[in-house]
Amino acid sequence: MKIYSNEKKGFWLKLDNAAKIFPGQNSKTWSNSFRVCYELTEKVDPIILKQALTSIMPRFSCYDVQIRHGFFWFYLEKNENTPDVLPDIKNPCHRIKFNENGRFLFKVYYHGNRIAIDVYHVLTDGHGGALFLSTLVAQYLRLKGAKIPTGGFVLPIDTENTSAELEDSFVKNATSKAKYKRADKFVYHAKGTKMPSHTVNITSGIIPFDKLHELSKSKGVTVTEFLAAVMLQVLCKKQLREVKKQKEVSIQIPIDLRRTYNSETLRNFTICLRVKVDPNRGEYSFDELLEQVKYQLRLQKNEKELNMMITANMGIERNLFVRALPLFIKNLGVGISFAVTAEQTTSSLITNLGAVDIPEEMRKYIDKFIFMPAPGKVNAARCGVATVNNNLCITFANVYKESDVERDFFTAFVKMGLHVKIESNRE
Amino acid sequence: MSYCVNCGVELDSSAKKCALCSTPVINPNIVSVESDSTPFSETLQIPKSVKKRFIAFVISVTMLIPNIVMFFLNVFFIRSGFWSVYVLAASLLIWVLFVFPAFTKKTHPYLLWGFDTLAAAGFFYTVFRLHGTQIWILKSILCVTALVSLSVLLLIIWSRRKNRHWTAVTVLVLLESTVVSFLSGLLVTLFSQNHSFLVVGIVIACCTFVLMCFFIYCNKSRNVRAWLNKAFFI
Repeated sequence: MKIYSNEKKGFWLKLDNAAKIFPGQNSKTWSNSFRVCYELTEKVDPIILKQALTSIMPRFSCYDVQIRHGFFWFYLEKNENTPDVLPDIKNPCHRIKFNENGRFLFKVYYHGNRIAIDVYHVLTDGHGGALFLSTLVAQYLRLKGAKIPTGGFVLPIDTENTSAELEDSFVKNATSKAKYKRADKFVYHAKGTKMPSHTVNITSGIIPFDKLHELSKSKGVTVTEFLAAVMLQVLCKKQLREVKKQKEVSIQIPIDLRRTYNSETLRNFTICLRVKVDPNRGEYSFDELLEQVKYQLRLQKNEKELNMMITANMGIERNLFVRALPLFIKNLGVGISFAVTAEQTTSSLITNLGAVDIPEEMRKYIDKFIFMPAPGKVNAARCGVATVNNNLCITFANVYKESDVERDFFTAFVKMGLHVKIESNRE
Repeated sequence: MSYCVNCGVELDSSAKKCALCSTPVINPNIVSVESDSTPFSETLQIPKSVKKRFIAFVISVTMLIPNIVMFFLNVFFIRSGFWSVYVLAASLLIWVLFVFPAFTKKTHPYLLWGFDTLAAAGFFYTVFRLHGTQIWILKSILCVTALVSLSVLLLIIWSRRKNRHWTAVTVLVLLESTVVSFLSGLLVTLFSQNHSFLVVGIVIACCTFVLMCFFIYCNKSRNVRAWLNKAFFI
């Protein structure tokens, strides 16, 4: 297997298939970035954190980069600057400007017991972000004197990137001959009062994982399916309160493809599936919603179906006409298509990172793991889910002042007899 | 440890009210917390916006350079008349209309109106002085400029009295267009002794008048609006 290092002269990377659209979506007020965050049991020392960050950067060649404009595509090349650690801000997932922050596409923050990273989606997805942060936190704890072995999400830092880690797994796995039809309707969007630009309301709910797992298992569904059904129920009820003419309610669920395709990539390798219900067909009970989510999701989540979707996405990138268009025209096209259709076909998003697998020795230093997706533009509240140490943390990023979606969502669990702890940046 | 009596969720020890329903936390056992122990930072990061004045300055310099070049070319190399004055006058008009307002924090609308009127009149006068032969053209253009300017002034005065709805503003704009078109046609006919200008003026005035009536009717009739939505949806 080839070993890659960005110390090598002329190191550069093409953007992966999923990343290609994100620079075109960038605006003065919004970027497609997400946050991963560890809450430790002790207060964070920024000086040691900086040392830890500097020592792990060579291991993550594909994150130690800056984005550049080519004539036809954007590309990533080695960043000669050193990343800094910053005091945390109230409005995470702040917009990314390519010439700020030493041209890095991620920002490391600290606040109290928390170490957080805001990652521009061009670099990686939630899984890659969690690997990077876990390795950083493990190194930070090592520098503080703890003995943390490698394993799970903690990568060894004395090795270099392999070709498998830097590959664009979409290219490798887009082999389907079937044609995928995109036929998504414009769906319901929760109404509300928009927050001022650059601000976002964050609300985290911490639920005991074992209890929720038990509950979802008793209903014959996975935790993600259970959460999606609760979200569908919340949005259906909200729509009933808001408007007479009912539209479909659709939830986007990104799926990590690494396990399905046996990939080790540190870059983007997820695809978004959708589950939807049409309230015009009648009122759905919670059990019916669970069934809808379960069957719709499982029908799409198989290798052949996913391959078809990947191939369809790759088809655009492989199209000769698209490839020949200069970058500024591509950007313009992506920007317009994103503004017109992107979030119009989904009512909300739930992204579940799953259980963050860290070494046993590290667990005692960790309280919880928070995963927050980028706030939507018209999607009211989008949520990210991650679990560590039996703490399942559901984090909503909401661009509206109203908190009724979050309230209905979390009180649904309280009504089911689960303990929910709330943390928020709301005043 | 506090719980919301309304939602039943546990709240963070630093919370002053429930994040879900805004119910205030009243717990005498809670000791005050440091800002560091709150789950989220209090610092809001808002990027600095690029200053309007700086952009206006850059545009001004960009406009000035070709003007200087053309002036020197006209004086020293291509001496066939004062052709560079056209470019200078047009640049000045564009600068006054679009760039000048960015130099001030909040330009007074009457001041802006005065400058714009003067710039437009000055531009037409300059162009006429260089190439115009028939005095009726200058008279007509200056009168039409004065009419348009007067109608804009009326619009400013009317809309500044109180906040007007956009539909009312549209009706007034259409009404003013009707009057200005008719009067312009009349004035140009008087100066040129050519009746075709009056016909053009009346046709334009009729069109804007009909448009205004249609707009008022649509605005008042819910059925017509519903039909328009149905028939012309994209």
